[in-house]
Amino acid sequence: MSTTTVTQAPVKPRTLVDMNWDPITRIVGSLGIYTKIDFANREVAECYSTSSIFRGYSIFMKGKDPRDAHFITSRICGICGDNHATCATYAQNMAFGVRPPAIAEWIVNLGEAAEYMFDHNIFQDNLVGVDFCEQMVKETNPSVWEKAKTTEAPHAADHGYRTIADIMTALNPFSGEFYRETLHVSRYTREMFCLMEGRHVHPSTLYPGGVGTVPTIQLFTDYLVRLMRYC
Amino acid sequence: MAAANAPYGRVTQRPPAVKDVHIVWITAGLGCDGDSVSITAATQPSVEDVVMGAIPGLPNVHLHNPVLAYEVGDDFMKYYYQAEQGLIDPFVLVVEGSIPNENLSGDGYWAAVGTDALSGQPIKTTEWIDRLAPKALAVVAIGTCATYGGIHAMEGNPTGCMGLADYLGWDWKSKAGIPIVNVPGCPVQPDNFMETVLYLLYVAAGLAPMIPLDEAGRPTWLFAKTVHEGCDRGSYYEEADFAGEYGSPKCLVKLGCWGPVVNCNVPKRGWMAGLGGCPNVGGICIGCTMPGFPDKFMPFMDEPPGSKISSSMIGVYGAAVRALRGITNATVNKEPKWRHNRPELTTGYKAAPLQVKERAS
Repeated sequence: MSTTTVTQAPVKPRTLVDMNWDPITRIVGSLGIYTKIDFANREVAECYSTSSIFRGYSIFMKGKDPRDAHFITSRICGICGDNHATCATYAQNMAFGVRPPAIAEWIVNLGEAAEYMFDHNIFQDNLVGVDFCEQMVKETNPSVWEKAKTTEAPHAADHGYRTIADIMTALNPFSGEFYRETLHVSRYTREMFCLMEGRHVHPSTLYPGGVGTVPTIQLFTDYLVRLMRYC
Repeated sequence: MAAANAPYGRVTQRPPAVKDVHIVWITAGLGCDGDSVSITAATQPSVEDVVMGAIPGLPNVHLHNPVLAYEVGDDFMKYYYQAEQGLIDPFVLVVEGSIPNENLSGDGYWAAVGTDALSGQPIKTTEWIDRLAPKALAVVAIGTCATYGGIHAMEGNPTGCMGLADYLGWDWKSKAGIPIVNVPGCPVQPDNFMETVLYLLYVAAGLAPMIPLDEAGRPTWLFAKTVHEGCDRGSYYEEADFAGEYGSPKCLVKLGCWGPVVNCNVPKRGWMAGLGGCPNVGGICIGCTMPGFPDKFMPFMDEPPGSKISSSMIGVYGAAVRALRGITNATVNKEPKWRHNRPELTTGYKAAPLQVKERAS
């Protein structure tokens, strides 16, 4: 087998342009992205991220009662606080050598299932979806918008949006039909979460060794009817 | 929209005193953005109701919140600068997260957002508060971090952080004469915050009097009552009937609930759509709306010292009342004895004398 020589494309003279985005919005947390971009060679020459807030959980949790840990670690994140709380109770259970009853495991799992439903839809349509909305695409990529207007959306009969542009319009913040429907869906999925874990984003009924939630027939009926709306 | 096509109520409504109000929101305190996420759950009113003009009488509302913003980076930061320069006036400043003590951060900083164009250095959150608070129509602290310090201000914290009123001063007033409005909660109860914003927008529109606040800066109609006063398990307390394990529907004070001494409407209002909450659904109240949170309630999982005294005092009375109510309850759970299918009437009905005579003739 003969060796081939890869001829490198001639490197154009390097001109670095500072491109910074701080803060990155529509995420939770304080993220900044700082880059130096070589547009001529289509290369991001340098890039670093910043997080401009320090709180110190690992410092101020020292010496605190470990049974309280899940109430504290929940506050690390305002969108997935319950995941932190849930994992903290797993750690507590291992540390204390206790095992929650099966019904408590079910209640936590149903709460977390509702959380996934909430989280995925608000993330996709209300946070990320805005990057693909009519307003954004028109402003940043007008040619894509023109193409979207004549591109038929697959499965239009199922969702009712004839073209890709129609979907983009529906994703416009607050005025978009899809955006607003997602807010509505994010609410009843959070209601499902609250049925199991009391509050969103920082749950109230999780404890080491089990949950405080009272498992009644009504509780599961209320959860089920909301779940059926999602399907 | 043409006036002819507008709903009748919209036509008859007095136009707002100002046409546009901006809400400039800083999430760059020491927080988790959980209050911004929480308010997207609100329905009374919802954020889209307020932003889209669904509520008659309100000015046009322009929301600038980093978690929901269309813009990124400098395009978003421009609203902070415009507010500082008086270009978007009036505006309500919302602060989320506790305020770090930058006297202690040396050459560095604890919290910042945006970059100073001249120095290339981050602009501290405290700097933004200093720039924007004097220009704001009203300043609202959202969540317990911004109101009183909260979790990040607990004992042993390295940042020396505090609430907004600790930073600006408890006597601070906006240029419109409005004190700092505190809406605590960890996170804030969604409707509590949106309703407070709605009230302030009515104030801006000239349609409402000064917002009523208590000594801790909280709207009185939301925070005057205790958790216990709104808790559907309060009657178990009255009967000295206490939960000894998780999953019980009884009063939770023995498991660590602080409800009797905490100002919060969540058990009454629910978390959202009337659902969820804390002690009403089996979660101990850890006092997350309070200035003393979290330290004065820790360890959360221990019975509050005060409730040991009150719950033992109520023990004798509660047990007696519960026994007596048990007897009465058993009685009222039985139907009156005259409801039967036997061939006689035992209801106590007596035929009128006149009817008896007529039948005899």
